[in-house]
Amino acid sequence: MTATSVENMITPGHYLIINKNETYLIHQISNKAILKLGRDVIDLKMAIGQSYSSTYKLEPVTDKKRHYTLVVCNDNQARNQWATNGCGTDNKLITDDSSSQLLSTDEIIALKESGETGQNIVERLLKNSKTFQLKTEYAQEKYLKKKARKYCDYITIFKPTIRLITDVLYKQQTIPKTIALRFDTLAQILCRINLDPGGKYLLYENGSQGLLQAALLNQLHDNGSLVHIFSSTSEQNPLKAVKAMNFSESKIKQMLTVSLDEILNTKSEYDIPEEKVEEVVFNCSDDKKRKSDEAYTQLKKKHRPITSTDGLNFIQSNKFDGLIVVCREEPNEFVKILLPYLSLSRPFVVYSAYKEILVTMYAEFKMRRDLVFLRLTDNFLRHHQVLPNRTHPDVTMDDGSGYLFSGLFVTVICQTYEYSLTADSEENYICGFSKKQIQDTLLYAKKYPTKGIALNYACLKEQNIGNDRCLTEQYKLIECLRKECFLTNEQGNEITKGTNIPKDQILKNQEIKKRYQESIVKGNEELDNAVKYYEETMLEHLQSIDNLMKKRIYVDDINIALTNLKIELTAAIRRQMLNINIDQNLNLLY
Amino acid sequence: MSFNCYKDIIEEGDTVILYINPQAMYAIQALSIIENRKGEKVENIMQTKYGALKISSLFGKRFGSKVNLSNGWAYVLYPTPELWTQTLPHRTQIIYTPDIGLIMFMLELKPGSIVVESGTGSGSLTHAMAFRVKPSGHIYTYDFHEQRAEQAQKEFKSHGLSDIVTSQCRDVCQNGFSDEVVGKADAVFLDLPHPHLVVPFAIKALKSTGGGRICTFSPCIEQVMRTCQVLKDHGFIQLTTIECLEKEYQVLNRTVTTFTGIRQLPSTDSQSQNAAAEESAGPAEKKFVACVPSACPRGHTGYLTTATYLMENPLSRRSDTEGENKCEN
Repeated sequence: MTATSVENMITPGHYLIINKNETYLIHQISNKAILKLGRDVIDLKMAIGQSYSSTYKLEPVTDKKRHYTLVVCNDNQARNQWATNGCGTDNKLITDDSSSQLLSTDEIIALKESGETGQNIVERLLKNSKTFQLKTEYAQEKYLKKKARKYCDYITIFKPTIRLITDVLYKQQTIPKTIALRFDTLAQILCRINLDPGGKYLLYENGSQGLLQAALLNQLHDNGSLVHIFSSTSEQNPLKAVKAMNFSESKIKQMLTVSLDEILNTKSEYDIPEEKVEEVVFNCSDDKKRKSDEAYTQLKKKHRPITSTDGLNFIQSNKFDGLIVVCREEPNEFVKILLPYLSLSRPFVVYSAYKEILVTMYAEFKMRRDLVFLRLTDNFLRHHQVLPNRTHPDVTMDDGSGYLFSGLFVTVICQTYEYSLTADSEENYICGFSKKQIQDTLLYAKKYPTKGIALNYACLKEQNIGNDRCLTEQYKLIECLRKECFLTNEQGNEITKGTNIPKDQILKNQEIKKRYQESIVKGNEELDNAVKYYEETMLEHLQSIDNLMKKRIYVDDINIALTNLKIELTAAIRRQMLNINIDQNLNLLY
Repeated sequence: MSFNCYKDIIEEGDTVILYINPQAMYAIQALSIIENRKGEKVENIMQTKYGALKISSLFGKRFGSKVNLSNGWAYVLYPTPELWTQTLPHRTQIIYTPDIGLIMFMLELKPGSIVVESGTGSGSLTHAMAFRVKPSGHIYTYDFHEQRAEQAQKEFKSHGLSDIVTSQCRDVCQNGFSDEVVGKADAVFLDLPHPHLVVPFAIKALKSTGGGRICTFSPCIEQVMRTCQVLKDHGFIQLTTIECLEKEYQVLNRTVTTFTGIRQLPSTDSQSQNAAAEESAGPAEKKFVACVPSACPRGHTGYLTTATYLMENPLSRRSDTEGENKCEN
């Protein structure tokens, strides 16, 4: 037998999707191969070794009540069919007086327990129904469908797929602490994340019973990887869907796990979410926490030789191709922490059952310049009944798809590379920055040797130039300074033009000129003080930026620091420019 | 060449999405020199609402970085299937991302899947599916329109997808799918005027091990009715017909005036009347974050009918092998 057909065979230990009429369930077939379905007990031994997607007839075991064995059955026979003799045109002759069925309830139950097949039972029911022949053909069909559901004696065993598992889990919404993810929402998540089978994905999931992990693993090729951040407050069976997919060992190994607490602990102390999460941890009872932790350690022992420190290292040393957050918590702060781990031009998707949460997030993220293509959506999904002459949308509709918020991560820095350099070997790049760029930066630092930049440069050197983040920040700072210089230059020119005319008048008056000189001397002293002060404050700011850099970068903090710096800088440079202008004008005077 | 896997740095020949805002996104082929109408080779400069962009200035930039236009700025993005769908040149009506997501999900696509698609159209779905099934999967796509099929072929080649996508001009309603796909496909997708005519061919194309999926996309319910009937007659199970629309919301800061000033007017006390007068002098305003549905959402795209095909006559095949086994015993 070929490898594919072995893979396509029902083997003990595997999970199966069992379909009886319209119900589907996930079942792990053991060596005993016993399935309890309501009050029925079904022996699945016959199915072992068969291929998936085949249909079986339930054969009653003669000596046991409601025990069945399986017999493989051709698909065409698997459809219950009953002969109908004519039909009515409308329902004017049918009255509801509970007397249309001649068989009593006890008789029907006895029939069922006697081991009669469903086919025969329904035939008896039809024979003993006074009104069946009067029903319209549509009503008959409906009646038969209803009876078939009740007395169905066929099951079909499917190979678990994400589609079937999503369906099964969605119908079990009542399990506490879980998110019921509807199939179209999951489909949308997978589509919005633009899943590249060879990519690296970062996932925080809490509450979907492992559906997200299973779906992502299923979509990854051998060279792809997934880092799953798990929470200690997860539900009872957090990996149900992953187990149900019968993944191979190597497939499971593509998923690294990291605990949420570990991620948050690596952040610096002034991060708000840390406190928040701690609260959550304290709130949940110790029992539950231990349970889920145990579940995870068990799983780790079983499936994952890779410990979570590897996961943590992996997170820190890699840029990801997508970020997916599906959880019951408020994801806002957490997403902000994870965003910098994304490569540029890569998407993130956040799911929440509540629109309000995502609206706040949208409003905040809209202000950020490093995110584009923000979208907040939900789905309208309608099933249709398609039958000859009776086609219409289903009577009931489900409007609980949840909400998705997605966007793309980009950079605010206008990066300029020399094209010729890209063709060279990678050695010319240090963390995405070309050597020329770094040289430019250093030249700039020398040309404008304010203490701050020099200090920052020293810090950069100390911290090893390979530090991507440090370099980015340095570059950002320099970009900022450069712009400021440019602006102040322009403003300085304006000032010169503006003051030239009154100065012509001043020229005529020597006294005024003297006073002017005196004021300049005074002004120079003031300026000296101001410059000293400015250098000090600038130092402070830069040191704070350095501190930020030593810890994990939090873009907002940097921005605040930079804005402060900008204000100081603009003021100081403007003063200096004024001074220079005045000096020049005075030189012209003499 | 940038379509078959994520890359970081823009090189000559890549397709790049120029993002100005969500309403203004353009797919551009990053070529430094193009031919103008007279056939002369000129430098490739793109004109946007916010000024000109010299395409050659993009080379060496990272995807996701900001570029300066002469009167503003834009971002250069990697052409993900989602963005490509938004920016691709339309040759036909195309399938949009919400439907694409659902189709790929319902067809259970994953790396390695073999998919048969008809018609190719503008290649919106084909690009998305190719991205999903790569590197080991394959898409066989057919279109009966010769010019369109040719254009699609060229496009797949220039996008570096020729290893994953085989595009042919063929009228599948009459001639069925080509021989190379018989018994190979995991999934079949049909977006053509008469999908019911293709169902028998689809069965031929599907893998004989069973569990193959079919999905048809039809804008009209009459097409769906015919398709469902034919699918049922051919023994397909798990028939579902769904319609899925994506509702998009915009989040905006809004201000409304409130009635707080008016409430105090009926009071007889002169002081409070004064106070009320002061309040009503400047109407009270309330700022809030509004979440409004986008202006004209799509009301209908098409019905998706999906079904599973079980094995052909599993009983007869199995009883044969069982018989052989017994003989051996």
